[in-house]
Amino acid sequence: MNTSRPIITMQDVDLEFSPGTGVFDMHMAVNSGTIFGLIGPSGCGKTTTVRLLTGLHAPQRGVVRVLDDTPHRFKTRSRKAIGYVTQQFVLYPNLTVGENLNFAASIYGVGYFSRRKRLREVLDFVELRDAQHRLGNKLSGGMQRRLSLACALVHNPRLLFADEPTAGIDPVLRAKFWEHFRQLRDEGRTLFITTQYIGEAVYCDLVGVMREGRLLHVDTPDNLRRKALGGETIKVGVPPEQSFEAVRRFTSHQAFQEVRRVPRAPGELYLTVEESGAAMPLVFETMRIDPEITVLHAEPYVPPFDDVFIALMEQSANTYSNPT
Amino acid sequence: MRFQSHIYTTKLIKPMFEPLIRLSSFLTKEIAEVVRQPRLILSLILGPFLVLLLFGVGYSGDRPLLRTAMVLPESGSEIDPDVLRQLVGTNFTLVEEPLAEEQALDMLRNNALDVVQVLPSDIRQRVLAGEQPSIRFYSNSINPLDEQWIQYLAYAEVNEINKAILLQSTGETQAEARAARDEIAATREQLLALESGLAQSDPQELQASVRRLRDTTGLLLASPFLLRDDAEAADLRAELQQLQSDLTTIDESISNGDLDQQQQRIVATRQRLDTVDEQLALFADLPPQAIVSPLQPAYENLRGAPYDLMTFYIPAVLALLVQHIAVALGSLSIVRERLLGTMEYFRVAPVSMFQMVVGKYLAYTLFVAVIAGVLLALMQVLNIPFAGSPGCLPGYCFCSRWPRSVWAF
Repeated sequence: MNTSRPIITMQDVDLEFSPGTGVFDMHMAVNSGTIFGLIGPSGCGKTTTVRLLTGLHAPQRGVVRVLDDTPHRFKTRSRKAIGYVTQQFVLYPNLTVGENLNFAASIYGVGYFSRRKRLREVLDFVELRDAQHRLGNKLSGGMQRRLSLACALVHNPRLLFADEPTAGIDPVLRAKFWEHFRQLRDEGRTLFITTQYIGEAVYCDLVGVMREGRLLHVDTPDNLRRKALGGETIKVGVPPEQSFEAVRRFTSHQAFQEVRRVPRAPGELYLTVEESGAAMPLVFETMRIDPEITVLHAEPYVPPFDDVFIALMEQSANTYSNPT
Repeated sequence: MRFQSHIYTTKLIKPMFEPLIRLSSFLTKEIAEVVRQPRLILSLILGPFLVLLLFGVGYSGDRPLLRTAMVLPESGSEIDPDVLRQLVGTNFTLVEEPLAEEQALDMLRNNALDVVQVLPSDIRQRVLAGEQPSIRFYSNSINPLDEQWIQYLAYAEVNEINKAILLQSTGETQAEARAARDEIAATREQLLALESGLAQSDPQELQASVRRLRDTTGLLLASPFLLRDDAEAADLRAELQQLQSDLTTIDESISNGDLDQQQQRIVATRQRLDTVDEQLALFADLPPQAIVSPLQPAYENLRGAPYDLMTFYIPAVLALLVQHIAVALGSLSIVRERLLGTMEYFRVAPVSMFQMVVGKYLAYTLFVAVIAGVLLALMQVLNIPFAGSPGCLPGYCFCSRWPRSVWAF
């Protein structure tokens, strides 16, 4: 993760459309050269946040800075450094892929002579070179999203905002998109991406979790996982008939904060520990005391981010319902 | 050094061209989108002609045929019925013999008639009493053009009837003037005889002649022709009144047998008769039409003949249609951007709304110029006249759509 100075900052930002609707108390700082993922359920305020950062909305309170500029009064220089992938496919159905891309290059002022090479590069990047003569209305949903991404990249922006760029496309193509995003990040660009697919958070360098207009957490995926589950997880396999005895043994040891059984797989135990690497020898040591228990396997377990997100949401709900 | 110079030039020049590049993006995009829709282009060219066709079918600039009936006064018309029928029939279509007023109005309400005309009674008496009797026209039309036509044709018809009344009256007065001149001639001879030697004159014959002349001049004084307000009529009236007074004195002198004492009055009366005769001769010998309508219109069209109404209006309607198309296309294009969601994209991009509107405006101006060219070519082929410069058509479209585009935006 890059640790250079923030390219995006939000401090105490509020924007209320109607009582209880909008975004509130937004704080964040995104360094350049990172992928920032904003996750949360539909209607939680992700698009509003993107619109605040792109200058489409002005905050009612607080300070928003992007590229050392104020978004709703962006200078042309700042606008030229930004690429924007909107939530919907907004390009022209009666123009071909190449014409749409050419149009996007024109409105960003890309010169006629340097444009052709750049168009080729971008088309190759999103793998649409073969479809460049196809009309916009003849493209599949995935191709349309890729064309949107190409249009946002055609002027070589330093900062890319993508509002749910993977919505409605298949998992294989989503993985491809994230591959593109990581590639762009590796080129030194900053990406601010919103998504409904919680699992995609693992592809980000920094993740913001939103709920009901509030940013609950901003952290790396690993740290969020720890926050959600109270530590790391080790998955241990024992014969099902020995699982009760194994649970008893593990719970009696203070290094294992929590022991869970899964009803579907009675021989599998999930142990929450502070750090999985350090706790792994303890697993075998604890079981050696009782030679009748056989450890079939033991390995660090990375729970899916959906579980992490649900845990974070539950924590958040508990906090709001029981603030003391 | 050369490399640095190149960088300097690029940095300096590129920002100058960037607004033009952005502006041209909308220009080329709009043209590409329109060209990709051949049915749209076809409809934009055929559309105006179809609209014109409908316009031509639905609109007639000709004078409407208005069915009419007359309502005459119970005392009968003072104007010759044949003359009246001819005058009314010039502007309206007489479909019925004269009717009673209620019957005619019922027919009007049932759309069996378009116009009912009610003529006034006692026209001559009422005019002499200083009134202006009206011919009342009734219609039951909802069509404003028909309404205008009825009012105009009624005005023209009343003018013609007035003229006919004046012609008749003038003719009668001229006949009286000619009779007066005969009497003046006879009286003048008698007076000349008196002047040359009273013995040769027969006083009884002179007295009869004087009395006839006095009666005739009395009739003349009462004629509408001499009741006019102008100076000429006033002079003649004064002369006739003085002549009547002289004739009365001479008549009394003959009765009293002291005519020889009126020698000077006789000479003066004879001279006055000469003057009155001259004036009456001027009036009696003129054609009545020249007196009633001294001026006649004489019209000439240097082009020979005008175009018919439909042909004349086609170029103007075409210009309006083309202009309307341009406005509609520009406005719809901006609405389409909003519906498509591209406005959000533009608001983040370094493109100004001004560049967007001007870019679209230029694209549609070019497009409308092409349509205008095709329409002008078609007008040439179809031999439709075009008053003024054909260049005005795209120019008009260019100028007239700018503020509306901004408004729509």
